[in-house]
Amino acid sequence: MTRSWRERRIHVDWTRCDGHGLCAVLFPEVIGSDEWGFPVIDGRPLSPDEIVHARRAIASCPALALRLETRSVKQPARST
Amino acid sequence: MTTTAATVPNPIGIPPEPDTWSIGPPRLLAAGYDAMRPYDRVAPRLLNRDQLIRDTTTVGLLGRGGAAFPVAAKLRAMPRRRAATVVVNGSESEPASYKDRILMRHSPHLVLDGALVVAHALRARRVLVAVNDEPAAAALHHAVGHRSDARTVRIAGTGGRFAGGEARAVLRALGGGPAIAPGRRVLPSVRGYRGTPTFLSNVETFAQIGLLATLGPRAFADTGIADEPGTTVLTVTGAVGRPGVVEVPHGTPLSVLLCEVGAAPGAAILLGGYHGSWWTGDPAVPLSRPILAAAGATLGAGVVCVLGPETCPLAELAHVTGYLADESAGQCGPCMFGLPTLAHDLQRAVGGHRSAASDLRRRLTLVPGRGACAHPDGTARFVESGMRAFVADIERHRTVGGCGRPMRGHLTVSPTWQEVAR
Amino acid sequence: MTLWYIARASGIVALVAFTLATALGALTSVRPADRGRAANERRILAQYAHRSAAVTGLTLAAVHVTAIVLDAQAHVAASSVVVPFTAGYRPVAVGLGTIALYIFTITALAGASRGRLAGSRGASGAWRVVHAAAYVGWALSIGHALLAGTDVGRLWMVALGLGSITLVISAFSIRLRSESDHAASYLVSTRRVRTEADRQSRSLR
Repeated sequence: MTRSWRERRIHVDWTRCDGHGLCAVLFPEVIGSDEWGFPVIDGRPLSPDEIVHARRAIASCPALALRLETRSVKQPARST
Repeated sequence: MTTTAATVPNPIGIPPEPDTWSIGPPRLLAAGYDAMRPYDRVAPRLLNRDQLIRDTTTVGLLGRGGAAFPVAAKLRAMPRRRAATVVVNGSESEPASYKDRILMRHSPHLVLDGALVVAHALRARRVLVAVNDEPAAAALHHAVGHRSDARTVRIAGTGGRFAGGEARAVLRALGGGPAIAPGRRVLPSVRGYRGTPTFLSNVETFAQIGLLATLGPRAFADTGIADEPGTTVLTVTGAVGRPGVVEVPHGTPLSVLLCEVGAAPGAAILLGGYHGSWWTGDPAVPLSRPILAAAGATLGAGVVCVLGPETCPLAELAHVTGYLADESAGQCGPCMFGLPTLAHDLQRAVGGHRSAASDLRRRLTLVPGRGACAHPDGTARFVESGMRAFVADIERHRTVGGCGRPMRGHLTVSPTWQEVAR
Repeated sequence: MTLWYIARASGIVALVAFTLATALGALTSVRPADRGRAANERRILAQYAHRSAAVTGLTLAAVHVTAIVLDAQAHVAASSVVVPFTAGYRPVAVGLGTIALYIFTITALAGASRGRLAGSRGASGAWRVVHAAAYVGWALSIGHALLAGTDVGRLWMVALGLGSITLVISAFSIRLRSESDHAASYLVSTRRVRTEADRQSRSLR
């Protein structure tokens, strides 16, 4: 039996990001800022209660540079 | 091990270019192969998709453009039922690399063989060759004109800047857009040239495929090592007596190569070009992509640069990093601002500033993975491995203020060969 | 008679709400000169205020429309709410209102799905165009108020009208100025210049 689940992460389209910095204010647990104001994203998958904060941060971006990416992960069960 | 100099006929009249030679019998750089007139040549054996996947798996053929991606895996990723495009990436925008131009100029038929074999296997409707070098384009045009099987081949320029050599930048440029990576990472096999599934690979990869189709896997594996049969083409530049483009069998020890090119003992070696890393491991490491990958290094596009003892390595590092910063496509903030700052920090390290090294270490963690393409990642790897390889020099500059050596430019940033050879 | 007063009152307040929403929408696009955290927090608050004003405006506009349709003496049938310029009372004026409300509804729907649309390349380009239609919607709603409004002649209504127009026009010009400053900023101008240079160097081959 394999376990499978979906992992969701915030992704940045760097060709759009202008370093406004609103995302880091709304979701500091996952989005930090570098010395020029560009987001530093913690690459870990988001927990279900974090998703609402992620969506707020995504909607607040003036450049529409953020999006939520979903990835299916399968883990095969260990053979006995 | 014998070395033979390949005397390559020069029918087109091209400007000075690197010496080309080989360790052991040449294959891709063999003079006779392409010099034969078209109707004397053995036409490549065309394989279907499964046969080609099987043969490339048997010999473990890896891409020669830098990522060393298994060719068989790339073929398998192509969808079966949709019309595909084959793209030969001959843009060669890395200044210290010349092998692709040499292959296109002197073995255009071999490159075309490989491209047409892949096109046949994938049932591709068109083959595009991206090339920015005039003599190479002319040689390819000439070769296409002399074949009856190359009607679907088109040759086009894509602009020669560093960031423009990356796969998706090339595909965009061929499609009429700018030669810079798009904002979203989509594999070419999913959506490539004008939205079609595209098999894009380096010039040498196609030449190897052409050779494989003609020789068959068993003869192909006559040279090289068990884990990686065959040969690879390298460009060797810097403080060497014999710079040039050299074909070596996989598994050749690095020390043997350095001896053949006349590098000073104990010279600092950069493997993989300006997105590669400085080699500080076993000096006799076998030149083979899997072996180097296991050691955390890469052969990249087959670029080997040698830094002589008479130049300041930190200054060379700073100089190339400045070049890489200028070559940023200018789309992504962290790269556009981060890379020039890294170059500036390296200059500060050359000047002996106390905090330069720690600033560099801090900033290097923030550069990789934050951009549309791998330019910042490669640059960070180049700088970070340099900081480890030249830790003694950094310390000397910090305590004494310098090392007494000027920057001699052993690491080239010029696209023409005259300035590279010393 | 009560319905008529409800209709007038809700109409006027809806107009104020829409004016604030439009002006705030323009101002949230402005990149503050001071890049600190406080400036970003203010910008986020402005985004919230923009959304709240829009929702308030839509709610009150719904009240306004319902009251008018229910008021038999207003001679505006339910069908005229859907098809513009078919009302029994000042058809042109009411028609402007109908179109304005359509535009505001579409604009609001686009706004609500902004986060989800960010995923698609083409959709986010279209988003800006659709959402910018709000300016047109606002202008039409001013026109509707001038032509259909009962209180138009009154001093306070004139003041309100002039105030609204001044507010949106100033917000829009501040936004335009910020846009050109932003386009001149290092990152954005380099993006433009290098992309163009790349395109040109290719066409020369």
